[in-house]
Amino acid sequence: MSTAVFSRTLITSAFFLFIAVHAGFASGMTEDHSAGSAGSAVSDAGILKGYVHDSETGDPVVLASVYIPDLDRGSVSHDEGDFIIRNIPEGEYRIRFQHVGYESTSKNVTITRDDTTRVSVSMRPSVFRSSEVEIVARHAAEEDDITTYVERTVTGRHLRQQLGRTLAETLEDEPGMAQRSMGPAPARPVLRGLGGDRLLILEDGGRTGDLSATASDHALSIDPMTAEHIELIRGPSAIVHGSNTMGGVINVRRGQIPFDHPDHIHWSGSLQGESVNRGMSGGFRAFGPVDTSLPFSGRSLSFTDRMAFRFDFSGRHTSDMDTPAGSLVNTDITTLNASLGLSYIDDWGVIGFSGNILDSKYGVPGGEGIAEAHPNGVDIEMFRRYLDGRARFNFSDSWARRLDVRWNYSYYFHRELEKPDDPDIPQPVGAEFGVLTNNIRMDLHHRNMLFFEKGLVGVWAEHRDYASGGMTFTPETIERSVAGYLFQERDFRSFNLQIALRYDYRHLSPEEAESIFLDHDITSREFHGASGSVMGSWNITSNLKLGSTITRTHRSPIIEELYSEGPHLANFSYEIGNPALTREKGWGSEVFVRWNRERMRASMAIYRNQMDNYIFPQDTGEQSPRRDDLNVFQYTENKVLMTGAELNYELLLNRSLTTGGTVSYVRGDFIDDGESFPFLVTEERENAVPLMPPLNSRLYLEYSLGSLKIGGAARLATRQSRTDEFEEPTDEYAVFDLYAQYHFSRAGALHTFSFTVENLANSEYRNHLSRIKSVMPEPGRNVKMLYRVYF
Amino acid sequence: MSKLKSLIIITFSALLVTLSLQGCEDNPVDSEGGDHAPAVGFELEMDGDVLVSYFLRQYEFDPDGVFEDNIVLDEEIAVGGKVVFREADLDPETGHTPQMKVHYLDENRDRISLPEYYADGERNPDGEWYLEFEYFEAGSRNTRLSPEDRPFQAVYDKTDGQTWVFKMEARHHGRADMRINLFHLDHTDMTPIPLPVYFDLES
Repeated sequence: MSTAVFSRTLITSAFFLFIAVHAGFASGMTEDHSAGSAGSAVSDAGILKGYVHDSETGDPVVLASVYIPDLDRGSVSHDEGDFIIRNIPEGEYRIRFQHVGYESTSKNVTITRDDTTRVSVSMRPSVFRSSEVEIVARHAAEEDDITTYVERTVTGRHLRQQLGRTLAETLEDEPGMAQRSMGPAPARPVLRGLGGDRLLILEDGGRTGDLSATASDHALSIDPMTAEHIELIRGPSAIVHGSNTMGGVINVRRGQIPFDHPDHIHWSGSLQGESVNRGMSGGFRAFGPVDTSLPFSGRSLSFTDRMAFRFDFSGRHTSDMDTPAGSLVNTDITTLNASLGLSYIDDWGVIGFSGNILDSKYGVPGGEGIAEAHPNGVDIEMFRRYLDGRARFNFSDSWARRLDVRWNYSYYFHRELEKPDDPDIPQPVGAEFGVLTNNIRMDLHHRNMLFFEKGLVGVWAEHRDYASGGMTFTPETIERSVAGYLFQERDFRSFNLQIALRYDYRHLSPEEAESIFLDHDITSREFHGASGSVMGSWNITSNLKLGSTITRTHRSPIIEELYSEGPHLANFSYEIGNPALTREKGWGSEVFVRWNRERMRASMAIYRNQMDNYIFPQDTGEQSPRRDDLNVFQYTENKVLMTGAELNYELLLNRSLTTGGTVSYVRGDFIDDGESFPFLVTEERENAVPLMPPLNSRLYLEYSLGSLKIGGAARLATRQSRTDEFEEPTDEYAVFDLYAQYHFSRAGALHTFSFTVENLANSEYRNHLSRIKSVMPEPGRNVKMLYRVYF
Repeated sequence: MSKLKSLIIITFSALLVTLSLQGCEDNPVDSEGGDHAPAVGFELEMDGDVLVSYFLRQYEFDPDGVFEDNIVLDEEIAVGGKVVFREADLDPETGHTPQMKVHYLDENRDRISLPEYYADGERNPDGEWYLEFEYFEAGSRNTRLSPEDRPFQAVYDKTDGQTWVFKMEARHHGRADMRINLFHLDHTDMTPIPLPVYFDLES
């Protein structure tokens, strides 16, 4: 470890220590001497007890989620529908109740010091899928929580039905969503045509530390089996997480660090099987109290009612995938994932840690036409170790609402191995990557400030050590980033205004060198710039909302785009960077309408995103002087305009029958350098932005009979012939699915079953965003079953 | 109670310091290990003469021993010639061609010295590079030939401590396109266009 790194770490830690101790002593002083004074941490705690029952039958609702958004804490109801939440600071709160098959509901309560507040809540059975939110032993992100103005959440039975091998597959049916792929394992979501790091993917709000944003063959280090729910964040809330979030933010909530104290151990188990790859996956999760005491200064310190743990383990193994054109060799996946989290929860806040290990091996298929050098494909081994520390300090009666402090560290390694014809020959290493990432983030949530009613101000810093090996000339690079941001909100009767501003600075220090094939020598670069977003929404009536968002983004070129030189085996490319690339600047605008009636829900959005210096790897159609077997992909920048629209609706046909669907369209055009951005591009141009999804739709019809839901869905896409110079078009397709879901509660447990037949007719179709679509059709008929039980 | 809180805060902070320091461990990938050869071409020498020269994806053939020919690989790569061996060129006892030597070229077309792994018939402890041969069906860069279908086979010549030398052992009449890869440790540093090689034999 270098002195500079050590010093930086020490300074960061000292700063962290200062903040934490300062907050801690403030908390201590408040309790002893000045309870309730402005700016102090709270200490006046009460208890909330309650009972949740069905509004029609009066039966208790077991395992309903009870959530306090202001505190980001919650619990679940037990066998008799009862629940309890301790250590709630004195004050007024809105409590949210959610359960599978029921409409979400809220109740306002007042918590008083040293007292127990009791509530009784009745929940109404739901007919609309989007109105059901189900979280067991964890809460859903709520609109009240300003860090997560979630535009859309995939959770509960919706998540179980869509649960796929990857996050991208799980989200594929959401409006505007597509999946970039290079085999079943390394798939990554693309939203509104924007992928890579223009669509930030977070894990419990933190960066994943993997390399999935940089190349098509790099898998995401999140197994969707471990997700409790998945949030899509856009607009001002997205800017809080990053300056380059034109596409938005996907946050996978796993709840690894407990923020709630349960009164007994909850656990859940999952088992999933699918026929298309003879795959099995399973998971186990436990969440419970740690009731213990420790000796301290001759006394015994009790942690009863204050400590909680969370453990989860999951595994996945699939064989090669079947398609209507035959089995795709080298598409197997094996993944193991284990996490442990521990936290201390008090009325003043929470302190917790977690650790996670993920180990995965997967294949990228080869074949004639895509990978002359790798007829047998490429094997990839991936490993990630992830440590997370979080602290939350609640404040009352002051401008500050709470302080969230977060640190995480990721140790990521992956290597790409060629597969020789002779299986006895050791596999040559084509490329290997190591990335060590340290992140720190502090968010201060506040109440009234100037013009605004609530908001947050925060800082974020990252230190990243990137190295690549094997046959690649990309230099080891140290990347340092820092950012400051704020998010503010105000309501004016029926109008809501949100703004976010952010300023980022990034410095990249590569091992400097001359290069034969790069146009410029490899030298240090620094980038800085402002980004921001404004969103206004107007509730025209109680059922109709109209809104608009304007976003300014700024994106620094990443290491691979600047300094790459060498073959990227599994990506079937010889990548050449451009050390002179400039930062990408974009303007995004969107208008949306949301309509909520008793029998119908619909939302529609139209958007226009323009980007100066949009950076992408362009296939030159020529082979590398060093590797005749690989085409040169040169990172280049160009002006790009993307326009599109989305529609999403649910319609209740009668008490048992619902229908719904999504329609998504995006178009990407290059704009010539000397040309100013038109409002829309209407004429056909020679080349289009590569890897744009075609016009696509998903329609479903669902029948409900109590807890049983049976449905059919159609996935439709038109032909995509708007391609870049060396990109192939893809044909239109129509694929049909069937599904059934059932749940019941017995002996204090909630049992859920999900059964799906995908691609019923075993149709051969291709994903336009697949880099290997010429040899790889999408999966054939697949029978998929999932059983999940919650205790 | 305040002591407890302070204890927790301090423990938390100490843990952060520990974890931050632990976070500064070394990168598992050594970019220095990627001290790759700056080779972008090579010369193939036989009997002291350069038989074939390859530079930035272009072959140039010495007219002696080579048929000028419009050979095109995969219907897109014009190679421009082929190396031809006849019965008279081969050792009558072993069927071997004369010894051939590879010299690698940098971007200035200067010869570069690379310590070969097999320098003296045994492994060279200082060597990291070595040759690897691939054989393709005539006219193809994709269809590999099985050992029994190859008209010839390259044989490492490790005699006399010479470096970068090999011979070709004739097997039967015919042509194969041979790729002479430069291997570095466990990966290739250069993968050239296959070289058409024709054995014009009576039997």
